[in-house]
Amino acid sequence: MLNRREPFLSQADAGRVRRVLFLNGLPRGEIEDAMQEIELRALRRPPRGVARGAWACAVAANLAIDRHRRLGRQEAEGFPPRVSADSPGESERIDLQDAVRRGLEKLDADLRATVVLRFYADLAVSEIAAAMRVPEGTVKSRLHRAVAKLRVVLPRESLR
Amino acid sequence: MSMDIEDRALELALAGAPPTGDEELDAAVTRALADIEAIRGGLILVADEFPVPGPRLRPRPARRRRLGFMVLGVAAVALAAIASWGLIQTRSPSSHHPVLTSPRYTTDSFNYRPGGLGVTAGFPGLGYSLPELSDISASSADEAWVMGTVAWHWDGQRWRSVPLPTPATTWQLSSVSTVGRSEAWAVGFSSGPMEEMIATHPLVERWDGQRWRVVSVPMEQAGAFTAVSADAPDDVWAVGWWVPDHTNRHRADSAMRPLIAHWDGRAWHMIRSAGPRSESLSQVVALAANDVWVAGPGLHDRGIPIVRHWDGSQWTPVRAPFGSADPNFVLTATSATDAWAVGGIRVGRHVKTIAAHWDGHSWMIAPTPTQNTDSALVDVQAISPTDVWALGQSYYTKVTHNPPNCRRPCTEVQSSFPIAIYEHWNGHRWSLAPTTSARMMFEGDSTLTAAPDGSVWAAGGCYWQNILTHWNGHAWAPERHPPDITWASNWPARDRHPPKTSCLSHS
Repeated sequence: MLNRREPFLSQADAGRVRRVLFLNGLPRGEIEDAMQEIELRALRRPPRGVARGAWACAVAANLAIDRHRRLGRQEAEGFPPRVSADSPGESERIDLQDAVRRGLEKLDADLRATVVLRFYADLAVSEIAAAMRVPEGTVKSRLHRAVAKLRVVLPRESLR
Repeated sequence: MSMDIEDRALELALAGAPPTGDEELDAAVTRALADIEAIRGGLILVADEFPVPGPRLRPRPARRRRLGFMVLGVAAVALAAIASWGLIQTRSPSSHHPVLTSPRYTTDSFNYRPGGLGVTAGFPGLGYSLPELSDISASSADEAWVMGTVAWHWDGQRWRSVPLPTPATTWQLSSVSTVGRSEAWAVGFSSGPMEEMIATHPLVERWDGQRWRVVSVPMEQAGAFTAVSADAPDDVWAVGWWVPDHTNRHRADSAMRPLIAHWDGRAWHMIRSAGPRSESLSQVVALAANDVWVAGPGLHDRGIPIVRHWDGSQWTPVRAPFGSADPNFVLTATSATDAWAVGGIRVGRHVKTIAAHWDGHSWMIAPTPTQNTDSALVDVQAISPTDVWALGQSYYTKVTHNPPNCRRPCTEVQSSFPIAIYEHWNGHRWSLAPTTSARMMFEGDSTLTAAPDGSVWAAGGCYWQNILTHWNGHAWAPERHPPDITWASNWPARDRHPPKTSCLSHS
């Protein structure tokens, strides 16, 4: 009798992957389906030698891009409305949160996925290139364009 | 003018470059770095809006070392998050340039096999590395090669490791094709230093009976070979992808195009498709100079796969065997009118094996045995129309809807480790072939080869081991191979624990 295998992703990694999907604008109702798709892909051709969390984040970003291409951006779910601030320092945080959220929504799916993988999932440029099947130069230029666009909407204070 | 400086500064900041000495530029780099850290922090804040349901986790088996590595990784991410927070909240102008690098690990090579995100195997954080096997190819009972980050040769008696020429940069061999004792071909890619805007370049190596040597290919653009197939010393085919202009950062000209190359006995000739679509080729089956099959997964991950046949004068498109249901199917053929495609398709929440036969006009699905709740075929090779071998993986999957401790709606999927299955076509039907081990685990890019004389081999991996198996006439049995694990020289001897997990079980 076969031993049952533990889930492909650790709890911490699974949480990170769900949030990568979320940051890429996947509707909440589709996130668990996407997680299952990632599990299936992992079983079918498991990644070897690469950290599972990093691999899964990359697949998650690709799934989100595919969805945007299939359905167009209009149907992608926007982020939920902001919550109000009630403690000192909180409003500053919320300004930044709001700015990045709005900035993300304006980015093309490719740019959005690249910036999320690099700065949220913490993948290396070479890993992103491999995951998205584009040359490293393309990743670098997408990163450059994405950050340039996001910088513009940051709260004034953050521009120092 | 100032926009140029901002642009350049952002580029330097993203690359983690050292100070330039130019006061104005360095100040702009510092601003860019602060903004990048703000974006990093903002992403964490936005991500925190998504409540993460806590799936039930089974206690992990005794694999603490790998778990420890993951814990370290998580801790590093947490540290990075805390560090970025510090920067946002204090907003202190730093006198030096923080370097934006991933604290966890870096990968130095990758491959483009469909569906896979492979890298040089091993966990640098655990002090060891493991050769990754990409492909196996046999031409007779006493001649076979396994290639990947190593080259292993079978001489009829045993597997031996053979040195490979190592290009100065990172590299990987994805596919091998054995012609005979004094000729074999391996293809892959080599990659330039990360700082340069160079992606990868096709790499070809040839075995002359004595040693492997790099053979130059006439292509300046970026690209890679993913598969090779040789049917004669003067008829070798390789496929992959190329990029017209990978340095053109602001145009969409960096998309992959199909690449086909032919060796006529003296030189490689490149056939670069200029098609507008972004796609690559991943498989080639060369049977004769006028009988060659190529296939690829199609556009990105989800398109309709490409299949084409060469009759000596032109490429004829062939319908994809399973449409978009399985773009990662594997192809084999004995002629233009006898080909097989195998793979796995999703049926509800599970995956089932699938195989289709091409008779020159259409694909016909043939029933294939399935095992456990899920199974898929991952490689196939035909020796003749009545002798075809396929390698697969099977596992159990348990799907639980709305389990306790999981915020609704929630679906939890738990699966067993995949075990290898072998299927054989005898001209009438597919059947499961016996194995000497009741449980033979295979994960990753498992691969199979079948020589004209009936010698059949398979290679796969399981945790810290590579496994080679062969058909002994009655059952599939594991075969000894060269040692796997290399420990880093600076890794303490007391921490060098060989793997305890048994990937083969006789129970």
